[in-house]
Amino acid sequence: MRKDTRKEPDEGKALAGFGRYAGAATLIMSSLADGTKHGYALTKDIESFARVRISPGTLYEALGRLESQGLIEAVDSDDRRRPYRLTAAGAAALEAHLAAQRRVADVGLRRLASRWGTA
Amino acid sequence: VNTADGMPASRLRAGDPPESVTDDAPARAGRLLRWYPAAWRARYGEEFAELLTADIRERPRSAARTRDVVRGGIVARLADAGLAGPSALCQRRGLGAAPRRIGVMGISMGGYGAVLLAEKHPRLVAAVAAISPAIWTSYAQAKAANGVAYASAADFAADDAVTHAGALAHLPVRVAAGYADPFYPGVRALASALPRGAVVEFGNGCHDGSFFTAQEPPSLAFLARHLAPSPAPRRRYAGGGS
Repeated sequence: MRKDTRKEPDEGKALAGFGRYAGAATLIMSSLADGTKHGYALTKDIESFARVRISPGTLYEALGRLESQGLIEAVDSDDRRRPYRLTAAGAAALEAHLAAQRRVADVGLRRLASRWGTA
Repeated sequence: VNTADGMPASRLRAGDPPESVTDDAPARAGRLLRWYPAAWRARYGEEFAELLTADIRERPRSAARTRDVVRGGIVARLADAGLAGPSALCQRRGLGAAPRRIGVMGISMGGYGAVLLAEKHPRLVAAVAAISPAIWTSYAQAKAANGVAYASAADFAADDAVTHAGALAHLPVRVAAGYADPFYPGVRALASALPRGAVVEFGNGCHDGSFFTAQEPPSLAFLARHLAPSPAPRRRYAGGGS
């Protein structure tokens, strides 16, 4: 591996085109980061860790887009209800996206603490 | 930070009305599923219906869910009908049918784009000419040369000009590249995948302005010939178009 900052700008762009799906895409990929899940398990997991409920239509629009971009894939299964898993490209894209979000969160929290005395 | 298109979990009421004796959730899920096109249902229908059924049981009345599913279905139908993207845009502007047929020409990455556009919309495009198109032979090669060109191997495969060349079967195509062009192997692969009758022009030169400029007049002439109001007889095109 070369410089570890090299990958970030490129991989971060993978989610840039998602627009209003970006939130759902981040939640889905974060949920899949610890293993495969099918649609129903995804909504339950996201509800428990993010405290938001993704509506079915939004979930499946985002799943379709993520799948067509190669960021997630459906696992072969005897069941016709196939679980989804994160691909290597998806893991890299998620990591870059979350790192960028963390930078924003850090700055926001720091400024809130110094000027508003919170956090 | 993330507000997914849904309601906050805290707003869910634990004590929502108990399920009625006759559970109509599967039937209601089935009705909602009809908003989606058949091809979509074949792929996602079963798991989507299961999720919808569970959602209906948890929130028996939810206008937000209905809106969300209807919107998702409409988006899927538009995509299924090819009404999202270039076709719809051109249709609105009256382009793509005689007498306003479309010829596409491009250089380098634009040459690749011109070929790909014709492959993805063979009925929209009437003729295509590519000069020194930027065509890689594999995702590994593309990634090494330009890390942002494709998001993933799947993205590369989805937009691989070589493997989609069969779509150009009934289109006049002209491709030109120099022997010293770094994309020469890719263009060579494309040339061998192109339908018979395609015009392939290899010559001395590399990936630079002097080769591009020299190829512009013959490329434009090729397009003009195939976009002319009274098209040349098909045999002339099949003969090689020289």
